[in-house]
Amino acid sequence: MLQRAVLILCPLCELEFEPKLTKTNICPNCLIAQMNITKDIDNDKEILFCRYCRRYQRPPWVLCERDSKELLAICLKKVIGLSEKTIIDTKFIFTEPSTKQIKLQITVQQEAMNGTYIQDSKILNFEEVYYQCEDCKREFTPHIWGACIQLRQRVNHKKSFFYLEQLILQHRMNQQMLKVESADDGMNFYFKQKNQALHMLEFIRSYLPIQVKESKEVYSFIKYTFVVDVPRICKDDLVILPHKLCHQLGGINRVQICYRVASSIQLIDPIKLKVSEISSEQYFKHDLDIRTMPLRENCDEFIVLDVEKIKPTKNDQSNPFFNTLCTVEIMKDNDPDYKQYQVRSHLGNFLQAGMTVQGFDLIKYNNELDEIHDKPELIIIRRKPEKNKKRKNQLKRLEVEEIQEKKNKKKEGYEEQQIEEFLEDIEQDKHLQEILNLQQVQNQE
Amino acid sequence: MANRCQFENSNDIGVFSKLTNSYCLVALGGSENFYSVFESELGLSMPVIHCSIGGTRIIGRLTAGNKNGLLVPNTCTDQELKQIRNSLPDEVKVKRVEEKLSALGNCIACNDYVALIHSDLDKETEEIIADTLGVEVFRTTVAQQVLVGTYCCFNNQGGLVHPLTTVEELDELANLLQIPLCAGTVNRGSDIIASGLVVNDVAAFCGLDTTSTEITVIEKIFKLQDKNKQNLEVQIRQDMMQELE
Repeated sequence: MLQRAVLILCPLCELEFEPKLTKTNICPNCLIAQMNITKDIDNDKEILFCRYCRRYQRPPWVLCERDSKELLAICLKKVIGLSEKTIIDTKFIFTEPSTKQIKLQITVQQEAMNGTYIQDSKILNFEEVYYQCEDCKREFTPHIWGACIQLRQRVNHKKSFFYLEQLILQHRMNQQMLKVESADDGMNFYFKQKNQALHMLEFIRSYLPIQVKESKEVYSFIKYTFVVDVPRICKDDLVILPHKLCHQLGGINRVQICYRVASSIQLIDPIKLKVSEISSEQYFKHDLDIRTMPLRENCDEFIVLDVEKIKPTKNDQSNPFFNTLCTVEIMKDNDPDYKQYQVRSHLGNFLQAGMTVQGFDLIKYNNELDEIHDKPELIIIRRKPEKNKKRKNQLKRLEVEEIQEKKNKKKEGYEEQQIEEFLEDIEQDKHLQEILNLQQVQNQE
Repeated sequence: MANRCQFENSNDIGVFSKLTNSYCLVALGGSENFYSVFESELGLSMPVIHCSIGGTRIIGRLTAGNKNGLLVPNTCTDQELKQIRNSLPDEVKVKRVEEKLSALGNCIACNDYVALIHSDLDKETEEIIADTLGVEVFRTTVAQQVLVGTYCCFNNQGGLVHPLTTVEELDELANLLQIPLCAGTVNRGSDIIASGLVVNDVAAFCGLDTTSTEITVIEKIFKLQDKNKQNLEVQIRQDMMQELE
């Protein structure tokens, strides 16, 4: 028996249809024609595109390929009118990148009356509008800095700054810097905000002993300036301490060698071979009374004749060098008398007979160091570097602007020489190599 | 003949008016246009009565009646009842019904011989209906809806029901009512038949939105076409066939 169906005439088009199937009172064709579900979906939308760094704004600026999921997400977020509809399918239609148009075909479904669903597709157009993202804005606008760090060290060389530069590059601290300037005595770092500068200060503080002075200029915004002072004492310097400081540090000798500069200045006594430490506060209290003699200006060469290791006693266990202490017989280079001296040194692990070493000859400076009674005669600092040595490492450099007014003619070749010396320092010091993470050693290989 | 009209910009004629074979009730406050449509179509034989029930204008849905009588709900005030009784012809019995389901127009659908009522109406009310309206009363549903008065509309010659009525139901109802029935819509696809349409044996009125398809269906099922017009149609058809030949 045939199942009869109740048919009605569609009020709009007079088509006979079964209302039970479609659950509507007008025929499906008229329903589709009436309910234009894609009508409310906005067609032309703009998305922001930075042409310098080729990123789209989302709001965070993301880098995405033309037909990628991320771009799809950005486009769909911009579209209004998708509230009651479910998206069935999306497809990117190919457009030339130069047209700055992105075409997206979406298929949506929406519920019509009584539980039936209508599906329709529509092509949406997105236009790429050029807009400079904040990072590029920062790069392009000069002089809009909110905080400045002026780092100064009153010495003739820039080795500490090379060191700091490598650390900055390694830890990527230069990302928030607007500009880096190099001055005669140091460097300037410019930041947009005070907290970025403070972050940088904490970073520097963990690698160098510093003293910070803060000041500000008030405009409609505030510009902060931090003047940061680094002690004059560098690695391999001879340091002569004032009496007061010696007493504070536990009655150590006045003549000391600086073997490392980290968050504090670390000294070793060339006679007793004991280590001590000066914090940045202590240094800056006695800044004017401390005398330093840098190695590069007062350097003498000696030849090692014999090395004898000192057996460490129980007392020496706290000394970081207790394994490498030794007594060394040395002779001055170019000495007509061939006089031999006996010296104690902490460099026992690489001193060998026949090696040429560099160090301080304090006999020469009798007049100046007269008041110091128990001073050593000769002090060995380090191995003599070979000339024209092939460097294993090549250093990455920060982009630094020179402050034009203070440019000195003699400094043109000076910087290269200093870089060479700095590289030599790294090679001779294992500790420095560790800190700078050895990634530069692999740089050229 | 089916006419289109609007009551105060609303296409729901059946809410604001009630049409039977001997009288017509209309709500107060409409434009003269509305009344003149009724009056011109119905002629002088049928009184067109302006009234309100319980202060409201939705008289079409509150009352149920045919040429024999009229039932009003308990919300109707004494004054209104008096007014209606005075205006109606003497043959028409007017009775107020005490019933919980007071929208009698939604619960009762009737012509001069048969009435279909809501399944939950009181036994008492059923008796009153049978008595006042002089009809046979049946408790049914239309398209699984209990509000029979809303979803179907019939006169003595035919009837229109909700589009989702099943075939079995249609057969059953046609059997009960002894008239042909068909499913359809009114007012551009609205399935609430009785609110968009009032009908008696000679005339029908529907909302302005009703499409010509719906009008054709209405005129066909309620057999409202003019005898003259019918002949005219046949004539036109014959002429066209001759031309094609």
